[in-house]
Amino acid sequence: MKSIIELNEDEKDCLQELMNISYGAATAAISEIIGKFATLSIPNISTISSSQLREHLNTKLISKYKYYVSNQLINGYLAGENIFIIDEQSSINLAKQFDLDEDEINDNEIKDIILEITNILSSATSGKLASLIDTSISFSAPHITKINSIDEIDKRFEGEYSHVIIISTELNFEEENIKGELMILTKNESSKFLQKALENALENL
Amino acid sequence: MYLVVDDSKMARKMAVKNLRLVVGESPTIVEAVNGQEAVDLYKEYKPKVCFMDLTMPVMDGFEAILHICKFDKDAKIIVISADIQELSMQKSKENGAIGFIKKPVNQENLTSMLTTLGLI
Repeated sequence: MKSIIELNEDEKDCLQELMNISYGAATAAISEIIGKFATLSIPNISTISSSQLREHLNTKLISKYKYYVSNQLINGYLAGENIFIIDEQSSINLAKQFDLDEDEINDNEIKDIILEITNILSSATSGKLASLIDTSISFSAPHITKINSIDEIDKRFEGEYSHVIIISTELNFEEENIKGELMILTKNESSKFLQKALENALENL
Repeated sequence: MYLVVDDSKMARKMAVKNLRLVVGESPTIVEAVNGQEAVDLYKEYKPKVCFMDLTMPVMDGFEAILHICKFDKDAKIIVISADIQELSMQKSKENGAIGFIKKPVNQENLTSMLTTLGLI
C-alpha cells in the first residue's frame, strides 16, 4: 500500500533535527536521574504503511530476546502513540541504576521503572517536538506488556494506523549495557499536520 | 570567515541565518556536514570561529574538536548541540571547545555566547 504521507528530503531532515533537539532533552533528563552518560544517535525517520510495522520491528529487535513494550497515547494535533521497547537484560541493568538490589529486582519493579522512563521520554520528546512546531498535546497513562517474541506485539497497531511516520531513536547507556528503542507513531491526520508544520518551519528559514 | 558544522541541512541553515543576523555584516560562511569534513575545512580556511554539532556520522563533534585543537591550539570552537547532558558539555570543554549553545540556536543565545567570549 502506498503511503499517503511522503516526506521529501528537506522535510525529513527538518523532522530529524527537531527530533534530535527533543530527544536530546529527554536523554539529558534520564541521564541526570541515573547519573550516567548516554550516547545519542541520529534519529531515523521512515514513512511506512502499518502492514510494514512488523517488518520494521524485525530489523530493530533480536528475535530470541524477551522485551518489555511500553506504549503511551498522545492526544491533540500530533495524535498518535509513543512506543518504548527495551530488552529484558537492559531492563534489569536499568533497574540496577535505581539502587535496587538484585533480590529487589522483579517484574513489577522493572515495569514500574520502565513506565516512568516512558513517561519522561514521551513528555520530553513529543512535548518538546510539539512546542517546536507551536502546538500542544496531552498524554494518557502509559501501558506496559512483556513479550516473548516480536509476533506478540499488539496487532492493534496495525489496525489503528493505516499509515505511519515512524520516528525512532535509541536510548543507549553503553557502559551500563542499557539499550532501548523509542518510536513515535503518528496517525494520518496528524501526519498531515506535522508535514504542514515542517513546510512552515522550512519556509521560515 | 566562519565554519558551521552539522549533518542536518536545517540546522546549518538556522546557524547561518542567525549568524548573519548577529554579526551584522555579510560574513563568509563555510559549511561542513560531518566532523571529518570540518577538520579538513578548518585546516584549509582557519576560520575565526567554528560552530560544531556533536552527534554526526563519519566523525562526531567530540573527536573533530580534538583534531582541530591539536592542529590549532587557539581554535575558537563553539558547540551547538541537542546533546545537553552535563557530561557532554564537560567533554566538549575538555576537548577544547570554548562555548556550548543548546539547540535550537537563535539570535539571543548566539549573541549572548559571542558577547561573553568577546567575539563580537
